[in-house]
Amino acid sequence: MRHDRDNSRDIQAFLAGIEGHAFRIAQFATGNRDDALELVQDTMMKLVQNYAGRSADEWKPLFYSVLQSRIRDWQRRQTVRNRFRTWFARHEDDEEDALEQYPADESGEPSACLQNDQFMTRLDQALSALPYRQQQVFLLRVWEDMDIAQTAAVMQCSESSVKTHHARALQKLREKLEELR
Amino acid sequence: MKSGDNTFERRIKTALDGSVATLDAGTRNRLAAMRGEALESKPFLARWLAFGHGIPATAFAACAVLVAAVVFSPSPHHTPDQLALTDPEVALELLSNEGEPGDPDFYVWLDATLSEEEDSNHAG
Repeated sequence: MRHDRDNSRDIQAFLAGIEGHAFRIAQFATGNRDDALELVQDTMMKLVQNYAGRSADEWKPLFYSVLQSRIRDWQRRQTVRNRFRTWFARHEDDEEDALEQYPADESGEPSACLQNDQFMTRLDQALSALPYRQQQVFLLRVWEDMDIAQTAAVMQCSESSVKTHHARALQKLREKLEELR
Repeated sequence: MKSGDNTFERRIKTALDGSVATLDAGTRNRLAAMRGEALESKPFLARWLAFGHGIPATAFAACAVLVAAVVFSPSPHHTPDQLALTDPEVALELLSNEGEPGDPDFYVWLDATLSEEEDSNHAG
């Protein structure tokens, strides 16, 4: 009984700690707040119902595995929908080019706070513009501190792919954010 | 990885952390509510995944049922009478072979009866 209560408290703390990150990661992937929230909710439910009995060390990779699976399902649904709405579909290149519509503000010396806001805005756009795998691998590696093996397992790809995606994402982000560094 | 990359990644990480810290109240409330709902769904899980309590009890019950089934099941070794009741072929064989060879007392009785009849015939 006590074990159950401890476990419940642990998983609550785990979810409270990860939900913000998970929401932002899903938001980068979907570009939509409500869809992102729905994906995170599904992931939380699945984790609690199916994996709460596992050791706490396993929760994070399991959580992100479930989230990535939900994101891929969401993408498949979107692809089907977009077949009927091809005029709304945008190519990956177009998405990356869209960033060019937001040039850096080069006027004057911005304050640190403003500079940070500007960096965040540009980072948001640059991350959203990255191809899905590059974006997610970068976020899992850099933001979630997952190692290459864990990231490969979560993303269901090889470790060498993880390294490639990470390097390409980093290069693109550097190019896009260079002027703000 | 170059140290410049590390610095750049650290800055990105800090910015992303900041974006979570400044999430709007509506989103934060939704996330908290979702977390609550997920945790509420745990009793369902507890029934199936409470390894500490549920499974030993279930395993014990299953073993008890198994043992009872074995102990109270009909014996596979039937007596001939029981076999005859259930198997018509065996019953027929028993009937047709009744009193037949294999019983020496029968022949002793037969000899005695025949000799008695013979004696009485001679006497008559």
